[in-house]
Amino acid sequence: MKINLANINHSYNGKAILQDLSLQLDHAEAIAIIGPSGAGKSTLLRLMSKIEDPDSGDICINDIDVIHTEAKEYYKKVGFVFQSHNLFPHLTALRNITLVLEKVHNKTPEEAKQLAIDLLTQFELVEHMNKKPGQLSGGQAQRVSIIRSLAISPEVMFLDEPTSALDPILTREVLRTVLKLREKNMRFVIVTHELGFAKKAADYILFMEDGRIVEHGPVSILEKPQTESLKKFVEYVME
Amino acid sequence: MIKKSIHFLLALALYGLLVFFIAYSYPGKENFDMTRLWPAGPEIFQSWLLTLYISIASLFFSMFTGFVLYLASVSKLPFFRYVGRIFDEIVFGSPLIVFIIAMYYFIAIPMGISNRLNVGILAFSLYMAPYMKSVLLGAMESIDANQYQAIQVLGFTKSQAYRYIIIPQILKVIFPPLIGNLTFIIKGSSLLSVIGVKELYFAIDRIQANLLLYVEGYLLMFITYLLMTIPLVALSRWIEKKVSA
Repeated sequence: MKINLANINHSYNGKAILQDLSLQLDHAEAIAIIGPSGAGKSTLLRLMSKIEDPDSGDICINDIDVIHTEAKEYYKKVGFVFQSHNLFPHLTALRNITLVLEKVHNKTPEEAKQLAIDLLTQFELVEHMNKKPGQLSGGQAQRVSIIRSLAISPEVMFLDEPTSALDPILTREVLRTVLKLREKNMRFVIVTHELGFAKKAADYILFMEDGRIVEHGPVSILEKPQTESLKKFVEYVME
Repeated sequence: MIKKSIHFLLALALYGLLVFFIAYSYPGKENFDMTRLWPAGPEIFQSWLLTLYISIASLFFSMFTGFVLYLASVSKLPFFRYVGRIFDEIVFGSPLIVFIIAMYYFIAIPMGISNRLNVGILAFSLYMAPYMKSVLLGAMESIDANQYQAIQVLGFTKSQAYRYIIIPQILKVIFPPLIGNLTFIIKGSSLLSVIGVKELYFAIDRIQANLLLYVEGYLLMFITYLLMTIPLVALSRWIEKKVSA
């Protein structure tokens, strides 16, 4: 996966969230963005996934000019998983997946159903496929939402703290699903607070603080931080 | 289960007692005779159908006026929002009977419109607009803001989003209050009698005055209105149950 961020600035209500942020990565496959709350991690993810456009700067993901590409086209190539599952409550787990395959990705109902059932089987959710989100546990719903994103075979998946609304047991369930994505060679960028998980699932770490990328590099930077900020953060989280 | 039915029967018995009391305390009970209304049956049935027509037409048009008012309330132009808000205040602050009279005598007549039925339906539809707007607003707000983001990132077009995601959810939420409004409209339609629309209340009122069958007439009114509203209330409950299932 290639990521090119150039001089990104972004603010909410006059408050700067990201400041002159730049980054060039050519060969990362699974990136974990870590850092304290309010560091701008989710904002950066939302900009990379075109949920919002930055105030200034350029974003390229896999040579796609994110800002100047039509949203509809971009979302055919990337998937996004929110903090909460955001499944459509009136549809079953299966229909949540097949609807997007049929209507946005022009699959036939049979193809869509087969693909969805295959994925639900692989992720051990097939027995819940006819349940509506309200009948699923938080972890199951989040896993269905991950499958919904995965089903479109995106070039990159963005996951915004997919476990933040879950208790520790359900968190483990969801993290196992994300690890499976890695086994399937899915490229993804995940915002997470789970450092242990980041070590296992990611091959590249971005550490953010106060709207800037303070340190980045292979996962080994978590063992040997170069900056005082990352060192403190790792110590604090591991405590 | 048995316990529940016993409670239901006891409740029915309580109302039975009330009917018994009324029947026995009514001074002219010796002359009570519902069958004397029989010759007026066709006229009553016709007026019953007219009430049904008024109610359904008013419901239909009030959905339209309510939608227009909803659009005004979410308009970016403050002018439209104020027009909507002032209209809300007028409706919420005035009795339906006054609204109907004002619409007919102060607006329709000076404009040369004298079709009482159409003016009545229009007045009703306008009066119900703020209530319908509230139903629409509630339905729209029932859709979590996160869902719109999901719609965006999944790449649905606007029309697909409305067709497959938003409208099916809104319909589920909207039905019970919509039927609630319909029962209100059915009951309120009796007030169109003040401008001479020959609906159910108007018809029975005239018949009972001509035949001097006041108690029988009012009893018939009760029954005929309940024949329309009770099935609707049952339908609304059934839909609510289905939706929450």
